[in-house]
Amino acid sequence: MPPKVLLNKCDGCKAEHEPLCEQVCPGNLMTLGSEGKAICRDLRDCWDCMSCTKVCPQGAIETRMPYQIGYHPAKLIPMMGTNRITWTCVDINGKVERFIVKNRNEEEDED
Amino acid sequence: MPSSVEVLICRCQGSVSGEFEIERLTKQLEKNKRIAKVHVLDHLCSQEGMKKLNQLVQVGEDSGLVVAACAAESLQNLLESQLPALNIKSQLCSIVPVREWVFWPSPRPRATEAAADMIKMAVARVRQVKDVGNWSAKGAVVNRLRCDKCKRCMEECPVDAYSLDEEGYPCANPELCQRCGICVGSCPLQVISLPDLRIEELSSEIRALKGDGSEEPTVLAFCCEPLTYPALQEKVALGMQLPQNMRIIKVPCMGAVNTALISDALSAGVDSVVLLGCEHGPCQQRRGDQLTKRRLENLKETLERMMFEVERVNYIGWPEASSDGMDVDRNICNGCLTCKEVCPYNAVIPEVKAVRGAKRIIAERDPLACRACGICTVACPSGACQTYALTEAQLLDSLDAACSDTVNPVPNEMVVLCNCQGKLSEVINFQSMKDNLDKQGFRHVIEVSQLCTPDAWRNLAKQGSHAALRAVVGACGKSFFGSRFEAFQKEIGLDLSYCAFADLLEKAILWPESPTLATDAATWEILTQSALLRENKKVNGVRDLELAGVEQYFSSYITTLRDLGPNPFKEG
Amino acid sequence: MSNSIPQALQSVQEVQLETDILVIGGGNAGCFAAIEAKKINPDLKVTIMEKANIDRSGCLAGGMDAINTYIPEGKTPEDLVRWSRSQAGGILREDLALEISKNLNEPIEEWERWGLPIKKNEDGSYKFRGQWDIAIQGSEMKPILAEKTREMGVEIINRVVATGYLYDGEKVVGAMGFGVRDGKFYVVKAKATIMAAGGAGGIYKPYTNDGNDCHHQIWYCPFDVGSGYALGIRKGAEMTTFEMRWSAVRTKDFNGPIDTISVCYKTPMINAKGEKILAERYKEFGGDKAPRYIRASAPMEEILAGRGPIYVDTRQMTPAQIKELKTDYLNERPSFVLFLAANGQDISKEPIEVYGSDPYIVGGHTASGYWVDTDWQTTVPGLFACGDVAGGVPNKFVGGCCAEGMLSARGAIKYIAGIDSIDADLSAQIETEKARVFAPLFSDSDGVLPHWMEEKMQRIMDEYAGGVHQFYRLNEERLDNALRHIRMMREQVKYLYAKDLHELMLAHEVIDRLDVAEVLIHHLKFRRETRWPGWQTRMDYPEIDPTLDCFVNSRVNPETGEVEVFTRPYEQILPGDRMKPTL
Repeated sequence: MPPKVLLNKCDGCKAEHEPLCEQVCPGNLMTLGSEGKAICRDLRDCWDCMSCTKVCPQGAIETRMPYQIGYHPAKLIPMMGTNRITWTCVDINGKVERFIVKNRNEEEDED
Repeated sequence: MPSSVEVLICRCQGSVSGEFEIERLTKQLEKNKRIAKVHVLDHLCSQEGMKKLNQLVQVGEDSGLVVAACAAESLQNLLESQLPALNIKSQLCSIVPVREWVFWPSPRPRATEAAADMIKMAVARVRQVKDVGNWSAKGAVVNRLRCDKCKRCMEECPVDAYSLDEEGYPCANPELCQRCGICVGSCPLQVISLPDLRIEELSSEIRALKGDGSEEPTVLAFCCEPLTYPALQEKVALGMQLPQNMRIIKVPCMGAVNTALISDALSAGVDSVVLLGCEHGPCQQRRGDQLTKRRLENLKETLERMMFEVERVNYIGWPEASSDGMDVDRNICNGCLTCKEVCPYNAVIPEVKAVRGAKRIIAERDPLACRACGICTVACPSGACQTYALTEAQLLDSLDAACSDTVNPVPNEMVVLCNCQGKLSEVINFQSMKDNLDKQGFRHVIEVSQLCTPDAWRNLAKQGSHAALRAVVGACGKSFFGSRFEAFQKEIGLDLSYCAFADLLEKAILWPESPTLATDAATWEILTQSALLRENKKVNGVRDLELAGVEQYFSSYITTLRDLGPNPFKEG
Repeated sequence: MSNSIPQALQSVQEVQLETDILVIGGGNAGCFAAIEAKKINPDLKVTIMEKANIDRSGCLAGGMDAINTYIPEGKTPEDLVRWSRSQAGGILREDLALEISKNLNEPIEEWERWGLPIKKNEDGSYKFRGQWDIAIQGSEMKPILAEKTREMGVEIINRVVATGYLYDGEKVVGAMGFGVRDGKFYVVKAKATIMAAGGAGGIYKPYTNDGNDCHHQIWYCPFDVGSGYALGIRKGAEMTTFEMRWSAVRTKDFNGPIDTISVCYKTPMINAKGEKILAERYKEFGGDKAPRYIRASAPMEEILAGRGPIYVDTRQMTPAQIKELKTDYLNERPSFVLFLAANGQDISKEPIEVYGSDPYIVGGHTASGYWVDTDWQTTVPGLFACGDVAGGVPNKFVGGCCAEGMLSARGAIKYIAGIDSIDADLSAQIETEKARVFAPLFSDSDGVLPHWMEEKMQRIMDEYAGGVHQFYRLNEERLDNALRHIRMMREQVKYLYAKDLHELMLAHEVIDRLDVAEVLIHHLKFRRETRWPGWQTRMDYPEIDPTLDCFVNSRVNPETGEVEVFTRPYEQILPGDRMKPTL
């Protein structure tokens, strides 16, 4: 049932013409609901590409595996940094894994 | 991006170098591939020091310079004026106040490593400076190539400086933009920058934070330029001990801190991020604190889902800020609302409050509107309106001192003047100042040459063996005051509460061409401070309390962090 | 959005644009085409028409963890073409493949300069994970490319669905489409048009699709539905090698990429008995280096033989390798990491189960697409093609599509040199297309929903045209059945009903896929042999027929509307055994 919008966090990108998730969704699936919050038109049509989850400025979208192919309640949460993403994955047994990936070139760190 | 970065360490006439191993530091820095050269010199803020700087630092057009010295504003001004001659762009020069953040109030363990850490952070930042053509920009600049027109910047800009250009991109009007950086902090794609506030630079600086190699938790503290940075500096000067591995980054407003930067810090293994901002401050960067808190709430919720300890991210409203401006003493206020009538900013709101069990109308301050002008303090018939940071008594004393020709010093009041190895006496006529003070009745005026050194204090202690109760210290910069004082307090027998400080360097800089004016101004400053000393006790009492409060906060916070253990991202 | 839905055909607003080069589809091929055109001549007006938003559109929306074709030092373009030729069972346009290979490295190196992180060895050289593929950290590679495209001054019209070409006699002179957000009809006149849209996903029913939330749990981008092919098919452009379908071993249920595991970490594919399938049963095809179709069909054959389930054996991987593997997935299909977590799977103890994907028509992997000349011009003058819709060159992958984008732009610029302006009267075709495009919005609401027709088409294709549920097996009679149904559905599109612009897009995605499906069936019927078992398994013709050692092409006859299938000879440039990767 991807993506799940956390209604207490989503601010509809302050009711701008198109919230960021709506702007980026490659499948034209995200849109602004009547409550002024983002909604996914059709969960079945989502590719789980996580573009909306990554772009949401409020961290208000969580991508979930459809139950038909994965059990509850696993999580994969990106935290967007400057030119990098910090991922946290929590499996159904509560095991936590963390990953940091660079997504843009920049001046290399050296000691 | 600068092709190379050089580092200059000011030994501050021995007062810095005495406390850490300068050679070890130099060697450590020279190992860093990003640093081309390391220079060391004495007293950079002097004319001699500046001359030396010109000889030492000879770099190309696009080179960067990191200066490890003190936080003195005067040094910044001096350096700024020298940069063109050095062929260095001001964006490519960064001053690291190692004196304040590492060596004061007393040298901390692993000071050398701490200084190296801070310098490397600054180098990392300077390395990221890009000539994106907006160095001369007056306000916020949106990178249109990456902007997706979400308009959050427009929404959150406190002064409505944003409008849409013909292609629909938000664009800040430089005439209106106050450079508060709130849009920089708001942008989900991190594509907005101010000339001196670019996320890539800050990110690089943050990721260079490694700590001093000890087990102590690392803390990244964002401080705002108008309030908490100077306030923290003052606290440190007054003797407050900062957490050992706390590193400070100055931003115009807490609202300028993009959550991406907090994410950068946490994922780089920094144990904690603290945002030291105001609390409903009367600051012109309105709503910065509220916006930031909202953003932090969101981030914390995400962190919670990430099974990450939310305690590692904190907003701290600076205690002083909450009361800065008009403050109504409920016990005295009679509800006449004269303050409301006279207030030019509409900052008074009548409120019904329970006072001593009864409901009464009390004037309340609108923290966003109040500009701390003090008009209500003067007008209030019951004396309930106090303008914080300048109580009525202080105000009157200060006026007294300014208006009267003679000041009657308390017996045994001492004035200590430092001529900074003759550098201050190049502009200020110390003899004439001493004569003047003598006429005003000051019997213990002592001129010293290097008040910043331990030796000077010891000598002073010998001279002040008559156990003076009060003293005005006139020396080279406000941030200097206090630190040494605490350390040598016992030797001199002075109580911190009975001491005032007069910034002589400031006066010397104001009138560099006119020794007469500078001397008068300096003398007047000493007289004013002396007058203020008489009512100082109360103020100092408040300060001590807050000082203890902030310090206590930090120490208990560090205990929390120690209990949490290292940042889970450190492992991976 | 509701107020942008037009209430009647007459109230549809029209947007008229003119440009020098129109690029349809702003994926990586399209962006590189546009950038190249602007580089050659900054004064040209270059326009991208994109169904989504070029920041996150096409196959790379989620990211990518490798560039599968990059020529390492010491190897030549010819080496790559020989390898590619053998992997594709000996059928490939050598002229085009050589040209692409010669231009392969340049766009990737450029992408790196624009910000794409490429993994490096300690000495600073690119880190190869296989023979030709380099590892990247491409989760934001598309936004980086989009940024560069904007910087070059390319005009971008996002959220406009291309539906048909504009033509002046034989020539294509631009394209038409509708705004999925603004409900307007777009008419873009162009001196040259480059088709750079994606391949066709969602023609077959994926096994993950049980009529619920997993409908789009497929490997290929489900929003790429082959519209690029459909536009050409409808205008009589010649298509090639549709019968070379792309299906591959993917992670079971998630349908995720597998090269990340098997190529990068050299994990063997094993059956339920623990046998290394490729090494033990496919030795004569090269074992682990067997052609792609062999690798694709091997696990399915094992399952048919009763030796399933099939796994890639990750149990030998070190913890550090597993961490890196997951990081690679986070850069490419992050949700696969979530999938593992949602199954509580520790891959150091349990291997990853794999299964065949549903078949796709995708020219970036196989040879399906427009038949083009060495300027990448299709058989229709003024129309160029690159990326997943350009045919003839399998194993292009991301890098090859970038290079092809550049090459097609060069071709287009050569073509427009002699063209001043487009003066033809296009009003009649504009009106016809507009009526066709918006029809589902104004049809009877008691009609057919796009989802219904999509699901029916997918089931028909799966069952009768060799889908994954049929283990890709085909025969003439089933194909005839498929053709009959697809033709009936094509008749039925007039009943499609869309209640809003999003559904209008879905409606056209079905209409376009039906056109592609019909051509595909004709191709499958024509090749009465089994050249690529797995991709094209004819149970009634299980052997290779030497007389079909050629390209199978097709074209819709504009007079009759019928698909005509014919052959084009194979032209070998590089000597040697075409089934061997080296001389």
